[in-house]
Amino acid sequence: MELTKNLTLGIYFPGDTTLHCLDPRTKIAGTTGLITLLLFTNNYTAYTFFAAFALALILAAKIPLGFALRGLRPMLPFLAMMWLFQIFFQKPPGSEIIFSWWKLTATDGGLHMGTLMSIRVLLLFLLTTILTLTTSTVELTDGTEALLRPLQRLKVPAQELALTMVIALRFVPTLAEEAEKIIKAQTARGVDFGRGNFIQKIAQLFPVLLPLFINAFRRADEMITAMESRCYTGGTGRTKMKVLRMSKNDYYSWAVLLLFALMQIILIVKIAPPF
Amino acid sequence: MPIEIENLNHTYKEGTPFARQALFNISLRIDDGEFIGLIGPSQSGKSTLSQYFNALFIPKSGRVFIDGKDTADRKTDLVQIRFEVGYVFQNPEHQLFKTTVGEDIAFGPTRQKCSPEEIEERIREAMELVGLDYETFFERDIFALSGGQKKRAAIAGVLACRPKVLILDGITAGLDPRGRKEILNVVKKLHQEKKITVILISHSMDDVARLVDRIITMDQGKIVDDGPTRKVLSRVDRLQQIGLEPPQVIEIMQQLREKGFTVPTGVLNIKEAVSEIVKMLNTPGGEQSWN
Ligand SMILES: Nc1ncnc2c1ncn2[C@@H]1O[C@H](COP(=O)(O)OP(=O)(O)OP(=O)(O)O)[C@@H](O)[C@H]1O
Ligand SMILES: [Mg+2]
Repeated sequence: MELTKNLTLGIYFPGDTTLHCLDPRTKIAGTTGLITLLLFTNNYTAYTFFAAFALALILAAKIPLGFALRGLRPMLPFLAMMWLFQIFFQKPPGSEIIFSWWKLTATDGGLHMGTLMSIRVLLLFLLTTILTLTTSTVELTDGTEALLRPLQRLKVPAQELALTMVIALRFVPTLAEEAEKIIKAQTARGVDFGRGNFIQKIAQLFPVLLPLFINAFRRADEMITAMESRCYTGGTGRTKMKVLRMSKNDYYSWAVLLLFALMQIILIVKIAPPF
Repeated sequence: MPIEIENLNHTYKEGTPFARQALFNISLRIDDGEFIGLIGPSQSGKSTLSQYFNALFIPKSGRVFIDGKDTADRKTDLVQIRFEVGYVFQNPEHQLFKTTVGEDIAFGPTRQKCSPEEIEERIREAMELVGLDYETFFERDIFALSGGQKKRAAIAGVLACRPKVLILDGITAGLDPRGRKEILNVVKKLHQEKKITVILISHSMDDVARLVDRIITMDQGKIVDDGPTRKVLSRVDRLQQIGLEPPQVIEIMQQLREKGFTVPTGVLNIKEAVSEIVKMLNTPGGEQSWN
């Protein structure tokens, strides 16, 4: 029943490792770059190196490995479903039938596509988690804002956009906690969660979602009041308590990232996808 | 339905870097018809422990038996247990999840598959007990309630399930003095007339001490003291050690004792204190110490 136990997205894991202390711009831009790279990766060798790189980041940030991976657990049922879908319904040209069952046929091409896609989603989630685990809310906002600032000339409200994005991210654990409380309140008055078959379990969630949404709106309302009562009027003219500065470690990180990206691009180009 | 707890431990977020142990090796037994105060400073684990009383938490370390049934046993009907052990959450906002007061109070009886007439009757009864006027509040939006009214609505929602055991977490917080008195009187009446087992959870002795027969004090996830109200209250040093203020009358008696008067410290209210002081003054030895 502890929903928040398996939640790693949107939680800050305090520490003082190099990764924690990097300029948030480096971390955000780096993560974005890595994710872009991930979308083009399409062979197992490249993914193996990618996973190793993610692993190295987790170790470098001194995040307990089990904790980082635990966050992937809630996604597994969905991934499994998508995986099966791909196996049975994706038939890239030239793929061979592995087996058929009832009216469905599974192909090796579909199997590869499904597997690669699952790995991609897992790594994508893991990279985002590493970013949010090592970067505090303030840093995330400042970094995102700084990166979006060039867009201000195109009348993009960089500060507001950054703030909105970061609040959305940080609301994930809050909403999970809220859901936990509503589930508890309903359990106390006779709802039996987590029993029954898959469909029944999904159906149990609807009475939780309604109050959850209502609460989310109320919470947003309260937050606006809190911000306005501290004189928040939007981005223009705000100064920073901590001015962002690139350090030596940031330049080293960029060097490492570029090297890694180069290697990945070579791997992507040289090795043909398995279908 | 007696509640038995043996060697219970609880850790929040177990297996993560944020793990925090909230209960340490707790054992206790609550019998039918008891009126208990569970008292301790903030963070002492009262809410955590009490959520085992109605199987909201299932023990991973230690055992909990409710009405003789092991809550960790898959065959135990937990839903039935939760209807019979009513739980009022510390924060009513966490408890009220429907849109209107009437809907929220109806939730429990509906789950118990009561007939529409019976549900209606139970809502009326519960609302009357907690002092919410049926006509005024039945269709009232939950968000349009004051803090104290929310608390009352939350209690009504639990009473409508007709529990045999009633757990009230932080019941007096957020109520004005009169509201507090009214609610506590309702609880007392339920205990006396319907023989409901009641567990009151609170930070402060003053509200609770006058009512309950037995007090359990907690600190830092452990039980510090457990016994009849008078006995627990008279161990003032133990209370102060965990930062709890004993009721003011007791403090006066304590100070009188320190000044050399032979009065007992185990009194529950001003009336008792007065009669003890008068008794002391009327005994030959007592008068001497007065001079
Ligand atoms: N959902 C949770 N996740 C993590 N830790 C928690 C959670 N709920 C409570 N705790 C921790 O468990 C400990 C005991 O908390 P609990 O709520 O049981 O105390 P309490 O005695 O009810 O306090 P209060 O009088 O303030 O209500 C505290 O240290 C608290 O921080
Ligand atoms: Mg509490």
